[in-house]
Amino acid sequence: MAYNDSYYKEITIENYRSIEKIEMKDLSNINLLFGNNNCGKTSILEAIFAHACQFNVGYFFNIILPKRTQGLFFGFYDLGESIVNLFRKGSYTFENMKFSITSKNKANEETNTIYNFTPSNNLDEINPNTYEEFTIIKDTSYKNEPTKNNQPEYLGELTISNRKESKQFPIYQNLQFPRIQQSRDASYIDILEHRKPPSAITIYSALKRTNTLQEFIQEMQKVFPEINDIETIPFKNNASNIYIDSKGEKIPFSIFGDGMRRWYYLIGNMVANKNSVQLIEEIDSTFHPESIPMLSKTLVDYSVRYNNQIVMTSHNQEFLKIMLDTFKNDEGILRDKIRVYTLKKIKNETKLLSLNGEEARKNIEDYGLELR
Amino acid sequence: MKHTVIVCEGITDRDLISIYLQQVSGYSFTKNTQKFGLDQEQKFVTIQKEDDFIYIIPSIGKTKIKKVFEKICEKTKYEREEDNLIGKMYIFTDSDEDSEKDLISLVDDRIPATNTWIDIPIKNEAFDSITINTILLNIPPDQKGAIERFVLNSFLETGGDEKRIVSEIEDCVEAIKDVKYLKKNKKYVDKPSNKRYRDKAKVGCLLSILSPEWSTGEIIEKLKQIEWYKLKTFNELYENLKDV
Repeated sequence: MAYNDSYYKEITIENYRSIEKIEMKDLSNINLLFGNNNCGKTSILEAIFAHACQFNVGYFFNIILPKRTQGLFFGFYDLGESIVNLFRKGSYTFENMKFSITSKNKANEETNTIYNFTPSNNLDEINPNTYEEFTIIKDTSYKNEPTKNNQPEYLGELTISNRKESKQFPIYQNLQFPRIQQSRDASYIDILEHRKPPSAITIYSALKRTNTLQEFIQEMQKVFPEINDIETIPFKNNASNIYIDSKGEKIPFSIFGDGMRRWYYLIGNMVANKNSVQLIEEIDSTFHPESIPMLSKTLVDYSVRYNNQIVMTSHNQEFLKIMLDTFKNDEGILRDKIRVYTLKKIKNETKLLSLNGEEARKNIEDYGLELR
Repeated sequence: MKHTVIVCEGITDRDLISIYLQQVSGYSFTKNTQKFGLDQEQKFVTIQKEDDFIYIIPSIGKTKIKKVFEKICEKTKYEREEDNLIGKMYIFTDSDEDSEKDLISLVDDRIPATNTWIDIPIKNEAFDSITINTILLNIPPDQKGAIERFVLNSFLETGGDEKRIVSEIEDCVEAIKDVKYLKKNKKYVDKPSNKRYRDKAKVGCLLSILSPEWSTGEIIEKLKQIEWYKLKTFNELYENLKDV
């Protein structure tokens, strides 16, 4: 699919987690979701991820469900409840849950994704209609293993559909699904993703294969001048690790601080997954204010160069101010490439307020307004 | 919380209004915590009475009132805290030689007439509908000229020593001709702006005579010493502010 065909210009999310209905309009390259804690920023990222994954439900479930609990579930009830919690309470019956995401591309063509879930009887325990009160079974010895008859517990039936087709997926506790082509390539990056060693290797490999490693190192040197080179060195057992060459010393990548490792991961991932939507949680996390201008420039530059559309969250007004100030002499970038969406509860209704970068900067600089 | 903006033309207007509201309505100066995207010379003051805040903004020139008005509207368009919304706006313009139509066009053509309240609608994503209750006032209402002329006339009306002092100052300043001073518009001597310039000088002379120790000090300090609320004509002038 051509990049412009998949580039999200508008997104409407309905009944995902606590979101009743949210419409994001006029999306651009860099889209910052701004707001206080627990206002639904992460839910928007997840919903966009569900839309991009579409029928590739294994990718969606295996990233979104474990990330909130570090992969630990108190038995299949807990896992089942995590699935049920993807659907907004009050908008469905327990027997038939539904959320949907609709997007429009630059040509105004619409794509939609609808998730319908019907829980199995195994999840009756968490059906609020079955008991007046229910207790989650805290089975700490739980392991994701098949039951006695060698079948993993059946949690229910998921139907995913778009306007053209519909597919059914039985959900078992092992969360295994067939691999199916997505509607759009997507990366979901939480605040700890950069700590996973295989991620660093994947990015190194992509940079090397696309002959972009040297250029990438030069970008990193603008913020981390101590880096001379990045390389992999094999061990005797044929495994390998990434090392930073700094002042002639080979230092394992894993012992560097989170700021540098997250930079490497975020920017490298844009090269490794070009033409994709990058969904980044808490973009400001781990970065020192001094590094934000260069991070901002690189995000804009790489999003254009590698056709990435970024949707990211933050609740840090200092980060936003520094990011916008970085482009104060380039109104074109502020106006055309950056959007700031604020999620705000006003009179018991959650609203999404949108500004382009130029307007957001004017709000802060001229009027001293709080954008959270 | 209640937020009111008063837009006036000059620093003298700003100070007179703020002092008047302090003396008459019990407001007091407070720290400026708001920003309105103003030019550097448009130094506004904030006065407060309990949860009511009034921001008095000098546009520094009649032609800049429109821009200040637009900035207030734009700030309101973007405001996301209900408690911070501006509810009322007074715009004071000096009568000078302008017609009512001229004065309106200096601010916003949606204003139907001077001295008439109108709700200016503002589109704001966060709230369903927002308006700023706005009034355009030309002062002094029954005479041409700026606030300085009004100050001089007010003292003339009081009689006594003040009337004599003002009369003699008028004669003295008017007698000063063919000097490089007292001309704002050097090309056209009879322009209203030059008359206003002379009136400013006369007010300065008056205040220096009333209080010589002030003559090298801040005008605001002198203005504070005058009991404006005792001047009948001043109460009439700012009558509209009584329900601020």
